[in-house]
Amino acid sequence: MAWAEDPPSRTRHLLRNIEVEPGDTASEIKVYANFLVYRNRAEMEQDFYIGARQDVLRHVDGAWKIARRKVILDQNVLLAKNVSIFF
Amino acid sequence: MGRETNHHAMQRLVDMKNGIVSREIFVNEAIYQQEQEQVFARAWLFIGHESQIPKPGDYFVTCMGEESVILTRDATGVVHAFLNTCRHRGMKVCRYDEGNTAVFTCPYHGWSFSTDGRLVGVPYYKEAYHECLDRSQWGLIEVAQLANYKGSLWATWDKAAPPFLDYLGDMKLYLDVLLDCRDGREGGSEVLGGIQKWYMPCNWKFAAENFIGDAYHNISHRSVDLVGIGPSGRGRRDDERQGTERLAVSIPEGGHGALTPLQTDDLPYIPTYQNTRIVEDYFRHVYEERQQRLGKGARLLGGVGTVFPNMSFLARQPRSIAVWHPRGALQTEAWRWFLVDKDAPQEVKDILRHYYMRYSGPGGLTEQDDMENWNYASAASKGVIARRYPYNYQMGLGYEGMHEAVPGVVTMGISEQNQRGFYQRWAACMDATSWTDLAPSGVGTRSAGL
Repeated sequence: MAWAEDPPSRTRHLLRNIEVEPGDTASEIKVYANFLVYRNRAEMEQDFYIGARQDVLRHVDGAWKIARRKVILDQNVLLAKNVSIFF
Repeated sequence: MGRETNHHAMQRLVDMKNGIVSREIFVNEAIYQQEQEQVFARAWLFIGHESQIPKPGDYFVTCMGEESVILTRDATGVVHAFLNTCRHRGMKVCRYDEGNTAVFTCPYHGWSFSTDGRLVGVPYYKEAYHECLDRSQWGLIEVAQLANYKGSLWATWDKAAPPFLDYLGDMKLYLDVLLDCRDGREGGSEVLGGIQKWYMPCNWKFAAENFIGDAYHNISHRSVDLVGIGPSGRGRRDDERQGTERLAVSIPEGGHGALTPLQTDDLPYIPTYQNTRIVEDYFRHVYEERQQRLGKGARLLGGVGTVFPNMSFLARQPRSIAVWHPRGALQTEAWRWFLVDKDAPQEVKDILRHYYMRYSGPGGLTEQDDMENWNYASAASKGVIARRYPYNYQMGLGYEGMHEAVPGVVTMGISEQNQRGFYQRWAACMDATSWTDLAPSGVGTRSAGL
């Protein structure tokens, strides 16, 4: 019933310039990356989301989980009608 | 098309007696062009908030219809709105979103304008113009009228337009719930954070009519009701509507409308924003203050609404303003401002900012589904076959009434009367040759009983 994703988007995530730093606690790391996310949806919907990700990853039960994610998009007026996907 | 309109041409496309609206008004480029002249060049349009330009020299670049407009505070503190175009060759004199400046200098030939719009610099004035240019006649083009209503700024290009408060009419009461402090003091709001701006592939009227009072589109937002994005982590918003009548209110003589819960009695506070103690305490405190300050007037809780033509708001949760800028029959640029009481504690502002983002704008879990509907309703109405079949606005037709406590045409519960009032006014504007044709009919112009 989340109509923005019904039918769902087809997405491709391209990541570059990945930097990792120690986090604020021993179980956390900070990860910075640039992304290009392509979205195609329904018949001809096409969006490019380009920007930076600032993540805090936490090691929980043997796996890395996203504790926090800040996304900075390189568009002033967003040209996509919505942002209904994960970065 | 200009003002050479075929009298009553639009009345044929907007048949409110039978609750029928032609799809042409949502997809037809010629009608869209006529709207720019007949609606947007005439109406009072929301252009910003005084808190965005607090100091002399501050500016915020806004829009009126399709056109870029500079909202600025001059060196003496007076607020102006100017068309963002050089008088010499038309270049935009300001290409930033906001800032502070002493002059706007055109990068093309260097004409410079002060923040009160005067042409103060002309390169080679002596050598090339031989000092013959009358600089007093070539300042920036200023709006015909500008109004500051409780910090919200409005402007019109039409000298003949009625004063803003007359234009607003009985809609004032519902707009006040948005603009007044949560504790009932008048005004006192500020813009929180930046302005969200995004493109939507739909006709601007879809958004305007949705916010004027579409209480019927619950299924659109079923997902957020299930997930729980409200201030206390449930539903879409914390439900303050126990013990209220849910009213659809149309102000047909202005084309405005709102949905609002109205308490039938003075009721104890219903807890909201329960995730954080300091924020919950704040909202409880301001609720009680508002009850004391406004008495019976506090029973009007406020909801969504649209001030004709393209300013929409949510008065309480999440408290915000949207403007639907037309960008072609099938394109709209949406701008969203968020409001907060200027003197609210920082903890409250932080919690509100998160809730506002969770709910509204292109990434908002509620609003992203609206865009999907408006997008494909527009797209599926373009074809020549689709255009033959009008939309249905018959819900509650003939059940419109009055309410002893509040002004306007009122229906209890779900109705499309507000949309009918909007399109009736839209058609009148499209057909009218002057403001004389648009004089208020006197319907519903009575003071509130609250």
